[in-house]
Parts: sequence; structure tokens; C-alpha cells
Amino acid sequence: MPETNSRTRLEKALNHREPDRIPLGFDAHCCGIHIKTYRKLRESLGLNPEKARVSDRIQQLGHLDQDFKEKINNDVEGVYSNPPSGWEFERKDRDKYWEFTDEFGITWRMPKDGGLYYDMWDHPLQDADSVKDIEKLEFFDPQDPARFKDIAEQFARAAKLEKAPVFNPNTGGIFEMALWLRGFEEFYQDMILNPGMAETLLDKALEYKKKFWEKALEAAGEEILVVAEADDIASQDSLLISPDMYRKFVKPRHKELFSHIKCQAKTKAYIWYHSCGAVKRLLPDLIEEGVDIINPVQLSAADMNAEELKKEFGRDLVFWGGGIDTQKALPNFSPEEVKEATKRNIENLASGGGFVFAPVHNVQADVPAENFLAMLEGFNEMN
Amino acid sequence: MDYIINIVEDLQAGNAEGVKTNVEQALESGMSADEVLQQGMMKAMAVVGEKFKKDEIFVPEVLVAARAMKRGMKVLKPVLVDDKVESQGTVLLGTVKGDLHDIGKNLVGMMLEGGGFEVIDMGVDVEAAEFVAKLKEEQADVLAMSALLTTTMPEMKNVIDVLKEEGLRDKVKVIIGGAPVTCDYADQIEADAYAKDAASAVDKVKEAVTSLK
Repeated sequence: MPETNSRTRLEKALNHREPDRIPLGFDAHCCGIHIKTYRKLRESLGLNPEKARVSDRIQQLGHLDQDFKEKINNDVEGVYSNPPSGWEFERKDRDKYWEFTDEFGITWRMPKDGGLYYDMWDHPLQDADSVKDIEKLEFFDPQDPARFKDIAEQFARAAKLEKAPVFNPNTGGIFEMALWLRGFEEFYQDMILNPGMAETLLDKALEYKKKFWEKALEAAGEEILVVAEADDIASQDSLLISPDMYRKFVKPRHKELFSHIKCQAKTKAYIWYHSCGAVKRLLPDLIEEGVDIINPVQLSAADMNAEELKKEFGRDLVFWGGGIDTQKALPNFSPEEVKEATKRNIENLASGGGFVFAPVHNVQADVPAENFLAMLEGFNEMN
Repeated sequence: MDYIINIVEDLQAGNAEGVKTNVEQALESGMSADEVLQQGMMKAMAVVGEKFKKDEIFVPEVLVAARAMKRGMKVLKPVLVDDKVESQGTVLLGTVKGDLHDIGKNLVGMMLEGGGFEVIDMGVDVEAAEFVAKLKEEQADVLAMSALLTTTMPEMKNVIDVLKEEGLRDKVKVIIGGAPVTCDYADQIEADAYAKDAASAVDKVKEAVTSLK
């Protein structure tokens, strides 16, 4: 047996066996920290807060530096692709907002006064009228080498640090891509009124993704471990679309994408899948599609009781997240309450392996540093 | 009565043309606009809301139903105005300052229109002062605020505080909603009601308007 390091620890958890301690999964997609809170945390931990910089522009997340990750004993190293050549971030001044247009032609805005993230403002296919209009949309080359120029290095660094690499996605999943490109209300209606347009757009997104991951996985080589895809399919109380609609439009394409990823990976790749909200009804479908890890276990959403989920799906799925609720507990509880809630959640989710600790979502700007530290204390006490 | 049955069915199926045609024919047959509204449109949207609440239908089905309703309302509205039929009440709707999310808010607006209310949608990222100015101008019965983020929720309290400062708090009912919003939070900031989803919003607004009368 090799000595336990972060990678073997995570591998053990992914294989549903109990590692020496629960792996800590920050730096995977949606397991980040808002830049404002990240600065406060660095200060609390005796690290230079000036060093903090933004990595995920849209969600305004801090780039988690090595000193910080060492300090909290994080087990994961996030791997990130780069923008394609020919596209550059350009921040425009638009009255009350900062604005930029991403590589897909989607416009995002952040209020100058008190804005904490960029949110979608405009969609390139908003006025599309036909399948032809959808077909006309062109993407930057998903296989552009510029995207993957330092991927091998990032994996090599993770290996050197004996950390577990998670290859994060460069955009939303295929369903999200369709909604973002076409506009939410338009795409939802297309699925009923213009199913041909909806299918064409989903196919386009799928093609982009398959090509992207082909090259990404080639660059990752034998070091690949976890591949992350994020595709929200649920809301706080329910699913965004009916199970039938999911099975007709999205499921076959999810399945195709995940099989493609597993097939293209040089060694075993675990599919990490993120959807916020009340996803329980579709977990059997996700398992069937080849999803290995579900993130986040949104404890505050309908029918997302950690204990029941573990009992029902714990054999087939690894839970990544669900360590502490981020809507109420982490920002608003007292540190003592945060610690207790953290321990309770771990008790519900961690037995027998199959659990990686992270909060339900990114640690937001309204979280006091003491609460984050109390969460870590609870986590450490359970190990 | 066939027209009414058709309107209810077509609206639920999202058949906008069908709704439009049947509204026209119902009016031609001598039915009053108010009758078509109450027995056709409002009844159908109530069914849609009920099914949405019960998880029998989802956002896409509600959106196409609302689209069909709007098509019918285009025909119906001028006749309702001519007949001097009063709406159920006026609702000022918006997502609070700093928050650019609008799908939930839009669904609330559609369901309210389907419930016979006059809806003034102020869009997203609406400042307290803008809400206040519009309230004064339109004398709305209800202010419905939405927030999707835990970080923008506190702005709802700010708006309520500003309403108090302006002496408007007793003149308008305040209803709030959005993913992180809870009933407790509504109590805490002294909103009049919390609506869990777009269909419940219609019930809450109805209650609020009744209590004003």
C-alpha cells in the first residue's frame, strides 16, 4: 500500500471506502470562495490578504493560492483551461454596470454599486426564429491549443504536490449552454413549441463539449482523475423541467457526453456533476448516464435530506458538498451553530466513504471569517 | 360554452392561436369580456398554477400557457376597457437592487396577469427610490419584490424601511419571494406575505388586496 496522500485519499473516497480522513474538496467547480471573503480569510489565517486575486470572473471567486490550500489542508487542485486565442476579456462601462461579452457572445453585467457577481444580460440567439438561425451560430474552436497550453503543467504540479486534480469545466453544461445562448424563457418554450430548434442547439452544445474534452483529456494524459461538468436541472423546490422532458432532450446527450469523456480519458475518469436544487427525482437517471459524483447536495432544497440521500443513493454516488448549507447556516448562524451543523451533516454523509467535504456552494461574500473557520473546526473534529 | 372550454384547454396546452380565436369567437357570440376573462382565462391560469404547485407541470409548460394567455388578452383587454371592467388590483413588481435575476419574477407577473391583476413590471435591479416613485404615481395595491441571492435579500428590508420613511407603508401590501427567501424572513422584515412560488403569489396577492378593501 502506498502511503496516503491527497490523491489516494480521494481515490479511496471515490471508491466508496473510508479514507484515513474525509477529503477536503475546495477548488473544484462551485467549491470556491468569493474574493471578498477570501481576502478576509487570508487575513484571519495570517496570510497576506493583498495577494488575493479573482480567478472565476463571473462568480467573482478568489484564486485559491497554494499557501491557503496548505493552511486548510485541502486535498484538491483545480485544473482550469484558458480562453481561446482571439478572445480577450474586455470590461465595458455601461452606466450602472460593468459589462463583458464572453467567448460565446453572451453578455454579462455586474452592478457597479454593490455588485457581487456578473449575471447574464443578453443572449446571442434571443431573436432566433428557425433551426437555420441556430445553425448559423459559430463558436470559437473548442480544440484551440491556446485553451490547453498549460494543462499538462497544471497536472504535473498537482502530482508533485501529491494532490487530487479536478479538471473544471470552462462553461455551463449542455442544457445551461442552450439556455444561456438562446435565453431562458425562449429555450424553455422552444422545447414545447419549436423542439427542432431546441434539439439543434443542444446538439451544437454537445458537439462543442465533446470536442473540448477530447483535447482537454489528451493534454491531461494519465494524470486525469475527476472531470467536472455543471448543468443545473433543478430549482429550490422542484425540477426546472419535467422528468419526461429531461429524458427526451437532455438525458441522451448527457449520456453521450459522459461516455465520450470516460472513453477519451487515458485512465479512469470519474464524472463529477453539479446541479443545484432539488435533484433527487433525477438521481437515478444521472447514475444511469455514468455520473459518479454528485455536487452539491443542496440541503436547503426540497426533498434533499442528507441522511435519506445517503441511504438511497450512497452506494452509487459520491456526495461532494453538502458539508454546510450556504443559504442560511454559513452566512447567518453563530460560529457554534455552524460547527454543530457541519458535524451533523458529516455524520449523515460520510460513513463508508463516498463523501468529499465542501460547503453546498461557493462561500459567498456575506460569510463571516469566524463562520468559515468554525466550519473547518467542525470538519477537523470529525476526522 | 364551447368557446370557454376551448380557451381553458388551449391555454393549458400553450396553443396561443387557439386561445386567440376562441376569445374572438366567444366575444362575437355575445359573451361579455368579463365572463371570458373570469370563466376562461383566469380559470385556466388557476388550473396551470395548481398543477405547477403540485409539480405536475414545470416552468416550460407555465411559460407557453402564459404566452397563450397574453395572446388572448391582447384581444380581450380593449373590450374590458370599453366595458369598464376593473382589474382585481394593481401590483408593482420588480427584482431588488443589485440583483439581475428575472425568470421567477416574470413567472409571478404572468400568473398575476392570469389572475386578473394589473401588473406593472419594473424589471431587475430596481432601487428603493424607483419603487417609491412608481408607487406614488400608480397607487398600486401591492408591491411584489423578488431576490434570488442571499446577498441581495437585505435590500428588501431596505425598501420596506424607505416605505416607512415615506409614510407609504400602510398604503401598500408588500409581498416577497425568491429562492433563498423564507416565511420567517418575511416576518423578520415585516413584509405582509411570502410566496413560495408563482402560483402561491396569486393567492397571497388576492388575500392582500381583499384585506385592503
